[in-house]
Amino acid sequence: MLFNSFEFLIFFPVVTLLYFVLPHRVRWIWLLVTSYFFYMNWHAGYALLMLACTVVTFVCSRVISNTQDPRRRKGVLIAGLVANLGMLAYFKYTGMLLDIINRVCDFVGLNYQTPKVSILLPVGISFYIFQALSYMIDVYKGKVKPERNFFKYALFVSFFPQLVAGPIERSGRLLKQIAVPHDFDAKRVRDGLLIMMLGFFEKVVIADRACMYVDVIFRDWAYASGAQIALATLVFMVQDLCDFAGYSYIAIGSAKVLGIDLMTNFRQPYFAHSVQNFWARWHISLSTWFRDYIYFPMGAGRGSKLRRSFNIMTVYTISGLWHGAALKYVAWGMINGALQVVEMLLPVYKPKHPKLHHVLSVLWTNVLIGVTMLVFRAGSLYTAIQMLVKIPMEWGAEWMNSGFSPMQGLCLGVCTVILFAIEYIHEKRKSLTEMTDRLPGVIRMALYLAAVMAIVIFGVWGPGYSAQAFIYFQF
Amino acid sequence: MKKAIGAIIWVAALCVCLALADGFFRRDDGERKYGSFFKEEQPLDVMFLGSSRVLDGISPMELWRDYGVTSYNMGNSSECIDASEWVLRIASEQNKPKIAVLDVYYIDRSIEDRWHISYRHLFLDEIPLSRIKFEAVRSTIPQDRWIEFLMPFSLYHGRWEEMLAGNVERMIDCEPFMMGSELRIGRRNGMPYERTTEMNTQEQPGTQALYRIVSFCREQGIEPVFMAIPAPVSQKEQMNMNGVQLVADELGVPFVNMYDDNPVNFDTDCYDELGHLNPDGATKVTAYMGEWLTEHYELEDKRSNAAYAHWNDNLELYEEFRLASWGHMTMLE
Repeated sequence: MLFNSFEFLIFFPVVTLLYFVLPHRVRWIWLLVTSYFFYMNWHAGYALLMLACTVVTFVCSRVISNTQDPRRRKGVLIAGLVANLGMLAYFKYTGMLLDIINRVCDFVGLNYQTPKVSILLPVGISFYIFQALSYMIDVYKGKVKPERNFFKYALFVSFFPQLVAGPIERSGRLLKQIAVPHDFDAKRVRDGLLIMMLGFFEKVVIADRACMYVDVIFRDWAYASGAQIALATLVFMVQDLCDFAGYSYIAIGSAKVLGIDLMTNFRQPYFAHSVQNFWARWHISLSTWFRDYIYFPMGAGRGSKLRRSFNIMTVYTISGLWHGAALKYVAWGMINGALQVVEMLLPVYKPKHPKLHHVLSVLWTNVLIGVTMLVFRAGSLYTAIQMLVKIPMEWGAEWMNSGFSPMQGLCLGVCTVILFAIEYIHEKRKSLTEMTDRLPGVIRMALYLAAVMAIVIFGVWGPGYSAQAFIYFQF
Repeated sequence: MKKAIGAIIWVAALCVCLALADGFFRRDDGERKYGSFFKEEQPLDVMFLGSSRVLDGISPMELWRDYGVTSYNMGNSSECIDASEWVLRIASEQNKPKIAVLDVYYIDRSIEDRWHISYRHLFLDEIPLSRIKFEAVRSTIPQDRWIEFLMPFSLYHGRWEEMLAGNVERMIDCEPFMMGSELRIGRRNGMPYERTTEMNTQEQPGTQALYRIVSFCREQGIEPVFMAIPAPVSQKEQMNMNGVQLVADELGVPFVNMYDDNPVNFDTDCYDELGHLNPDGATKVTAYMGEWLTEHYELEDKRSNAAYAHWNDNLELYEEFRLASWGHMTMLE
């Protein structure tokens, strides 16, 4: 079930209403049942995988906590990691692996082709496995006490708001909240709904409209001018942020309505003044996961510059693989890592005009991020290189017809300006909710109403209206 | 308590805004085509149902002008017989006619065939959400498109773009005073045509719908009539339509097969080469049907009945409109 679907429009109010009607002691059971329903609505069978992940990490964590022998503890941890990462690797990377084998065979002239396999990637598998692993590792490190109730733990893994696209929560935060009863709090519910509204605005109004332009240009890039590719890359930067951050906002908002606080996942990433700073703001729950469970254990920033560079490159290569099973994602991760290594190696510069320097740094960072985004979105690494070359070489070439009307462009442009105004307010550490709270009640309500109507009207949802389908067919 | 009341008022205001937006973004084609039907308070004598052959071939206003018979043209482009069945069922709840005349042109097409689904919106969008609408949608629309019929705003909210740009195009050339018919302005020779009286005796995809329609009509006290409006179609299509005679005979339903006594001249009366009728063709077919209906049924001439004064008003508008849009073609001759 997607957040921007009719099913969710019915599912969420029903779940919320019954959640607050039910007695406290069974509310978490209700959330567990509805979370599994939420997941099974997509593919019932794949809920078994989530259950398997839950059982394995729960049992391993219990065994780890009940064992004093360090070798046995480590052995169980490794077994749990292998089982879960093995499952992730099978579903996510089998196709990529077979493709690499075939290419290598071709390259060395071996007449061998691997059998063709078609594996449906379970939605959210990368998210819930990482979340479950974080719990198991935290138990191993003694950071959290193991949960005794299997079903409460199962809710931690499957909690529907963040199940499909994060944020990847930590047991230390989420499990505690699951155990605590939550009373109905009108202000919290309102705040949650406002966060959801912001999420829907980003996802449905901006991201889903931006992709109409981006998809065409990235598909037919050979006919596009350099300027058009650059514009499409900029639009993709907006799309990618709104797609992911919007979804996160809906997750955070819907959890808040239910009384549960999820971690912030995006913090104005395009206001970053360096690539490293960008990654401290973008998909924070994943970045901190890699930091805590890979980068820190590897020694983090300690040791020689070479060692630190190696650590960064390793983390970002794995991050690339996590994002997608293709070589271009690995390359994308490595580029991000390399940019941060360069930043680390460059001498520290004390600017004469700090404000101007900051603005230029932000712009330059966005140029670099734009390049990585182009690699991320392009069909392949080779295509990405060709597109990058085309930007300066064919900058002034004739623009291809993208089918994106000026009216749609205007809508996207206005909404993007609104988005960055909101981002700017957040960057200045101001709360939009608090700002609107200062308005008289009637005006505030009218503002919320206008915002909902604007999302409903200008959002890309439903079957999709095509004027061409309603012209006179004349028969 | 104050907060709860505030929340309720806000939700109510949202519902009102959504309802207003729903009305604002709807296309007006359906209103122009079927609006007069739903506003008509007097009982109808005849309801014409079927495909674009009916839509362009039958003029209720000319039927009124010449015979004083009240009728409505419910015909719609690409409407197969299964869909007509639901139009009849739903429309009869609003205004039950004495006679239902059903065009059998699409006897050889099933509901599963690929239809231009936008035309289904014309009628169904005019029907408020109800049990019968849900049944009609379930029976005639692929499941993946139910939402847009049950909640048309999910589709039409996307019209903001064409509305802001001011380039809204009409889907159908109906005006409210035309009682569901349209005028197709143009003249082209029809495709080569050769008549056959042979019949396809096999059951056709639309045959079962004919049985259901007749059964429904008899339950409701409506007289069913089958009709075939001539068009330069292939012999195979003619054979399929001719085969309806067997069903008509079996059920004791009259079948007006105008191919047998063709009033249409395919060289002058067609709007396009497919044989959709221009106003001249429609006049001939309407006159033919008027003659046949008044000959076979007792239909009161209501032209001087004060309760039907608005029909005379509509006729005036229709005559003016026909002259303005088709008169120049007649003068050219």
